[in-house]
Amino acid sequence: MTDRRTPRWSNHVDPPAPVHGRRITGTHWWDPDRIRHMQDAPRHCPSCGSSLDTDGSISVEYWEGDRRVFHTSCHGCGWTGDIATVDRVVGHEAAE
Amino acid sequence: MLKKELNDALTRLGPGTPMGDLLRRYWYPVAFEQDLQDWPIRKVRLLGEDFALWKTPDGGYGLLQERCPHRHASLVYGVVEEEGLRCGYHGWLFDGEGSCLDQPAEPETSSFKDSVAAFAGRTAAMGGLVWAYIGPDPAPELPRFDVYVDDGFKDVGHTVLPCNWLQIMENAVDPHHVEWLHGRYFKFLGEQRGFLAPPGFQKAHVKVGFDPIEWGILKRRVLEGNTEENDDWKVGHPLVFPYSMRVGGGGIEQMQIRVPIDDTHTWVLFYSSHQPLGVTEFPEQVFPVSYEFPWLDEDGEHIVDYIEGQDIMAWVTQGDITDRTAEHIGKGDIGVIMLRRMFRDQMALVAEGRDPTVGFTREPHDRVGLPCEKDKFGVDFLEFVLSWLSMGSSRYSPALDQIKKLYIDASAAQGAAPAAATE
Repeated sequence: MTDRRTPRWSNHVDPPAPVHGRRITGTHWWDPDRIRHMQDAPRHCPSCGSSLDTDGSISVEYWEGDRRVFHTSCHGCGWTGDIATVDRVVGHEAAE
Repeated sequence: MLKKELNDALTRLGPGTPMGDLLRRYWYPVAFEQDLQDWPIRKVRLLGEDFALWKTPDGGYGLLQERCPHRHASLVYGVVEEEGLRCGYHGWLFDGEGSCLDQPAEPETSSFKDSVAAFAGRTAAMGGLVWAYIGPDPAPELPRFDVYVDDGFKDVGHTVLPCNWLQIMENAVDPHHVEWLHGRYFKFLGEQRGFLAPPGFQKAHVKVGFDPIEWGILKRRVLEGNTEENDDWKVGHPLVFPYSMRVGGGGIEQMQIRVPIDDTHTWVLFYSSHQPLGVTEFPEQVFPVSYEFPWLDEDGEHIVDYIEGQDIMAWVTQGDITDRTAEHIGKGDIGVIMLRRMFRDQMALVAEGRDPTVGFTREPHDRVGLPCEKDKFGVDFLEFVLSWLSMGSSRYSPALDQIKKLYIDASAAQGAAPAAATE
């Protein structure tokens, strides 16, 4: 007789290791995009180096086709711009 | 996509939170004036805090923390007196500033009352609404936006929604949803259920634009078949920071108000001032027409065969506080990104002890005019207005027929005017 407490199948997945000291939890903790956001979101201003976790600074990830772009604004120095991740450097084809 | 900490910072609005500190710098409507006609005290909840709102014998209003500082009974069950509001439990009396004036059970010589105070907000009346300010003194000016103070026939549909106010505000800088939610989806419903959805809402967006302005973010669009010379682009309409959107067309002048009750509830009001072109005299009103409109049917399903019902479906089904750590936004969401940035900027100013710079004024004034297109979507004015009235939340208005007649009569008079002029 099957022990009802032991499912014959499981959708259990080991939770990811903490990213930058924080374990991701919540409904979508398994979402790879969410995990990549935690890993890749800029943490410091590319201009002045201030932490982007401070009041007034923001980094919002959006997608442009396959490109992952972090629209970022630093309250410390006012720098605002888009930071894009690059998985592979690709050049354009030479003109004929 | 946002970090959890950032999503929390943008959506938590209770006392002592960074967003709560920012939002407490603004005035909010908390009741209709007519709500206090039959009974002069009512409970209101604003930014996660509960208050007793009362009408004073001289026609003004007062706002105190709901719980009496004595032993925390609700002041909503109090007694209105000349000097203020008296707790129904032991008779402690507070004036509109929160000072304790009387503690009947204490010895006459006691100075105990001088050391006790209740939190008191500021109140004002405008456009048939009672407005409250619960932030630090000095309070800013209550912006006297055109919709509230201009002549017109006032009609207000309202309801409470179980979601955070920010996801409703993000919808206000998301022009693309119009052609899908109110266009393609509405058309699909019409095809299934046998009605004609308004074609004006089905036009595709060619271009959208957003400009920061003194009062918020001005939103513009060019629709297929139209140009930058159309009002939708040339004039546009603004998100009014931090909790409203000014919209309209064809004589409808509307403020869509989203009052943050707490983290997961929002009081939504569609405040319309009907001003058909050429009309200067309107049916007399003591107070605006007000009514609560439904958005769920008897089975608990969303009612989606009207425009605001579709919006509400989208706002509420995102969850009570949508999880922005799992969203996937694209280039089409730049307005949303811009709004989040504006909130972060303004939160930082307040954290530094400064005034917000958007949607905020200390300048006394009579009226604030906001840009808002009249020619909406390049559709005939009367056609636009009638579809808005019949296929929007106004369809639940007890004054619907009266409002339609106002526009039809005005249109007929406009049509007759050139002929009359040639005679």
